[in-house]
Amino acid sequence: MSPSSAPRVRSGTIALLASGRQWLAAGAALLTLAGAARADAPAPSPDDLIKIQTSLERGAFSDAIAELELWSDRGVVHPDLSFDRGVAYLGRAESPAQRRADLGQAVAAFEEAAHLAPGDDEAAHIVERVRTAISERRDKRESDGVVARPRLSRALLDLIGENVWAGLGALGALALSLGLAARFASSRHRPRLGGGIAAVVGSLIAALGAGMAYVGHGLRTTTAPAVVIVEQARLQDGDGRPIAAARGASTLGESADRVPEGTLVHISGARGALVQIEWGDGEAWLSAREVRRLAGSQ
Amino acid sequence: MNPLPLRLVRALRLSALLGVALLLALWPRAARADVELSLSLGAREVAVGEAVQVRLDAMSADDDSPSDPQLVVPNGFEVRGPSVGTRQQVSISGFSMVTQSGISATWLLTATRPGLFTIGPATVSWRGQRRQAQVVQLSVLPPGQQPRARSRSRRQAVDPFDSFDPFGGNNGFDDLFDRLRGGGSRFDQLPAAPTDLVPERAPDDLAFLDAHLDTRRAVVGQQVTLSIYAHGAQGLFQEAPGAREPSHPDFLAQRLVEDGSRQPVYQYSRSGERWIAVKVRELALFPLRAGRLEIGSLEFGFLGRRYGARTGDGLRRSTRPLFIDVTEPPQEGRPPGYAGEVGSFELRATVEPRSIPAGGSIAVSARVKGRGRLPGSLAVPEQAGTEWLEPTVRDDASVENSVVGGTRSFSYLVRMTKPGTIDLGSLRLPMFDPETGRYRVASFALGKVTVEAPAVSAPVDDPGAPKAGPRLSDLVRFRAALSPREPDLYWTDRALYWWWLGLGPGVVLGAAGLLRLGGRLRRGLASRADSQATHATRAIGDARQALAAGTPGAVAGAAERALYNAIEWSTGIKARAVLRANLARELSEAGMPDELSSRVVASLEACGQLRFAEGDPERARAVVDDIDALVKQLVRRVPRPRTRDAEEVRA
Repeated sequence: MSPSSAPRVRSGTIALLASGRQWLAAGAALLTLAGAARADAPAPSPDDLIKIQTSLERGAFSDAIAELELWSDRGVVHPDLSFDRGVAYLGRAESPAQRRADLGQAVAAFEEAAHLAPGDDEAAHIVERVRTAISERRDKRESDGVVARPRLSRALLDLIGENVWAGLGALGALALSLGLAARFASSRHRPRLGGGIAAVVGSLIAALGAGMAYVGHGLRTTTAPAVVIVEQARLQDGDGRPIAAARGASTLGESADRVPEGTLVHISGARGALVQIEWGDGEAWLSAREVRRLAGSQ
Repeated sequence: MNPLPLRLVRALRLSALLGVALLLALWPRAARADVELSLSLGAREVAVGEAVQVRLDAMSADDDSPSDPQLVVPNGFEVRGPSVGTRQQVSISGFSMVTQSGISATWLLTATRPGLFTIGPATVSWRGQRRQAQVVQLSVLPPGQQPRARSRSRRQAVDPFDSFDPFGGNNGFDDLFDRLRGGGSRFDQLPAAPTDLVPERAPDDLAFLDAHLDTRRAVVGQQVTLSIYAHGAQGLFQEAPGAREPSHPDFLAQRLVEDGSRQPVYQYSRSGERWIAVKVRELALFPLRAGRLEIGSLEFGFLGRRYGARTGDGLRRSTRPLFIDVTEPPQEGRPPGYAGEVGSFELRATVEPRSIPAGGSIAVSARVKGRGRLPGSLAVPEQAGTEWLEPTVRDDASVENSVVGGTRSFSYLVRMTKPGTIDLGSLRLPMFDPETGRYRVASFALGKVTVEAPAVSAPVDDPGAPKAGPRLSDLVRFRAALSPREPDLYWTDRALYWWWLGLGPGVVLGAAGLLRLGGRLRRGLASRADSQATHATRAIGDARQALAAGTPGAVAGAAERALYNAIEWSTGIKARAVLRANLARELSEAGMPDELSSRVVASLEACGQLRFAEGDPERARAVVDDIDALVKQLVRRVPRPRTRDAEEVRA
C-alpha cells in the first residue's frame, strides 16, 4: 500500500461504515414503525368522532354504540374512546331504547377509561354514580347480590399505587446505601451510629416497598380487570355448576352466590366458556359472557 | 196373568235400542261442546342449547275456531313462534261423525340454562274467553350432558320400516330379511346408495355407523351439518333403546332427523354382501365459539335377529368423535352493529299508518327471510321522538336440503312523540355470508311518517324527557377529540429498577470491602518492607557494596547485621543479646537444625575475625558469600510469630 493510497482506503472504509450505519438506522426505524403499526391500530379520525357525536345528539344511541364497539373490536384502545362508549351506553340506558345490560356496559366503559387514565377523575366519579344508580335499581327490584371484599394486597395497591410502592422501595434502597456508606466511611461514633440506623430503616422500607411493588406487578400481569355486565352473574365452580358455598356462612341466601351488575372483578384464568375470578380470598368462576374484560389490561 | 205379546216385547226392545243409540249419538256432541286443548313437547329432556318443539292443539266441534294461542314460558328459554296452522279433523264417535276444526300452534324453545321447568299453561281465545291447557314439565340438562335415555328410549324401539316400508308391506324386518335372502329381487327395488354415502371400506362386517360433516372449517354461527348413517349387512334393523346422543357443548343444535323411520333406505353391494344404509341422525350445529371444537360420538344399538339381539341394547356401535376448526368472522370489513348473524337473509318491512297524532304509535312489520340461523334482532333506527318497543317475533322455520332457514317476522310498535314529518330511517341487519366470505348489510328504508301536533296543547308525555333531578347522562359529555395519551409506565416493568434496588447497597458494600482489602494490603506491604528479612537482604547488599569499596570493617558489620536480622526473622531471637557460647543452644531450642545453628555461630565468629583481618578481600568475599547463603536459607524459613527479647532469653 502506498502512503498516498492509505487515506483513500481509510476514507472509503469510513464511508462504507457510515453507509452501513445509515442502512441499519433505516432498518431499525422501519422495524420500529412496523412494530408501532402492529401495536396500535389506527385511531378514529375527527370526522368519525363527529359522526358518532351527531348520532348521540339525535338520539341514535345504538348507532353510536355500534360505531364505538367497532373501534374497540379493531383493537383501538384510548381512554377517551372508552369514556365516549360509556356516554353512549349511559345515554341509551336513560332513553326509551334502553336495554338490560346498558348500565353494566356503561360502568365497564367508564371503568376502562379510569383504568387507562388513572388521573381521569371524571371517569372515576361517574363510575361511582352509575354504580349507585344500579344499586338503587336493584333495591327497587328486590334483587340482591354480594360484592366480595378484595384481597388485602389488592386493597393496599388500590389505595397506594404500584409506582408509589416502587418509589418507596427505591428510596429505602437509597437510604440503605447511604447508611451503609456512612457506617463504613466514617470512623467517628455519631456518623457510624446514624449510618447504622439509616441502613436498618432503609432496608425495612426497601423490603416493604419492593415487596408490594412486586406483588402489584404480579397482580397486574397475571390478572385482568373486568366488569359484570348482566343484572346478576351467578358464581360457579370450575365445571360450570352453580356454587352454594357462601350460603352456609351467610344469611343472604341465594344472593350470596350472585354478583351484581357493574361489579369490578379480576380475571385470573379462563377455561372454555368460563372465566376464573378472584372472589374474596378465594377463587370462583363466572360465565365469560357475563363479564366484559377491560381493554388495556395485560 | 197373560204374558206380553211377543210383538210388544220386540217393539219395546227396539225402542230401548234406539234410545241408547240416540243417547250415544248425542252424547259426544254434548260432551264436546267445548274446546279441546292439548299441549305436547317434542322431548321431555334436552340439554342447554338444544331446541325443543312445543305444540298446542286446540280443536273445537262448533264453528267458533280457537285463536290467539299464547304460551307461558319461564326464564331460561329463547322462544320462537308461535307458528300457527289450521286443522280439521273428522272422527267417528259412537254412531255419529264428529267434525272438529281448530288450530295447531308450535313454538320452538331453546334452553339457555339447566333445570326442571314447567312449560305452560298455554291458552287460546275461544268465544271471547281464554281457555287453558295443562302444563308440561321439561328437564334441561347442563351443556355437554346428553340424556342417556331420551323419550325415544322410553318408547318402543323404533323400527325404520314400521312407518316407512320400502316395499309397501308391513311384515317386519325378519320377514323382509328372509324374503331378501330368498330372492333378492325386492331388495333391488331399494334405491341405490349415492356414491358419497358408501364408505371406501366397511369398518365392520355386520354393522357400523358413519358420521359426516359437511365442512371441517366454519365461522362462529355458521351451520355445520352432522349426518350419521347406519349401515347394516344383515338385513333390516331397528334402533335399540338407550342410544347415547353425540355431545356438542360448544354448539347450538337443531335436530333435522331424529330417527331413521322416515328416511329413505338405500342399498349397495360390497364384496358380495348386501348392505343397507339409512340416515339415523342429522343435526344442524351452530358453533358458539372459536377453536377446535369436538362433536362427541353417537352410540347406537342395531336390533334384529340377524344382529344378535331382538331386545335389549342390541348390537352396539358408535361413531368416532369429530373435530371442526371454528374461527371468528374476520375483522376486516365488519360493519358497525354486527351482532354475529351468519347466513344470507333479505329484509322487507311495512309501516302503517303513515300519519298519526303525536303520542300515537305506528306498526312496523319487518320480515327476514333466508338461510342460516334466524337473526335474533334487527338494528332499529333510533332517534329522539321515537320509541321502539320490544318486537313480537313470529317464526316460520324451515329446512331445505338440510339447510336451516325460514322466515322470522318482527312486529314493532313505534311510539311517535315529536310532531313533524319524521324520516324513520332504515332497519338494518348486518350479517356475514359464509358462502361469499363477506359481510353484507340488509337494510330497508322505512320512509317518512307525519306526526300531527296535538289539537290541545296538552303536554306530550315524552318518556325520553328528563325526569326530576339531573340525569346521569347529563353529567358527562362526549369527548369529540382524543387527547394525546401517555403510555402507561410502571417502574417494576423495567429491569433497571430491580437492579437499582440491589445495586445501590451492593456497590456501597463492595466499595467498603475493597477499601478494607486495600488497607490491609497496604499495611502488609509496609510491614513487609520493615521486616527483618528485608533488613537482612539490604544488609547483605551493604556488605557487598563495602566489599567493592574495600572496607573490610564495614563488610563485617553489614554481614553481621544481616545475619542477626535473618536470625530474628527466622527464630524470633534477638541474637545480639545472647552470649555467643549459648547461641547455638538457643537456636536449637528455637527449632533450628543443629547443623544450621552451628553454621550461624561459625559465621558470626568469622565476621568477628574479619573485623580485625585487614587487607584480605578474598576472605571477606568468602564470608559475605557464606552469610548471604545463610541469610537466604534463614529468610526462606517460616518466621517465628513472637520476638523474644534479651531479657526473656536470659530469663
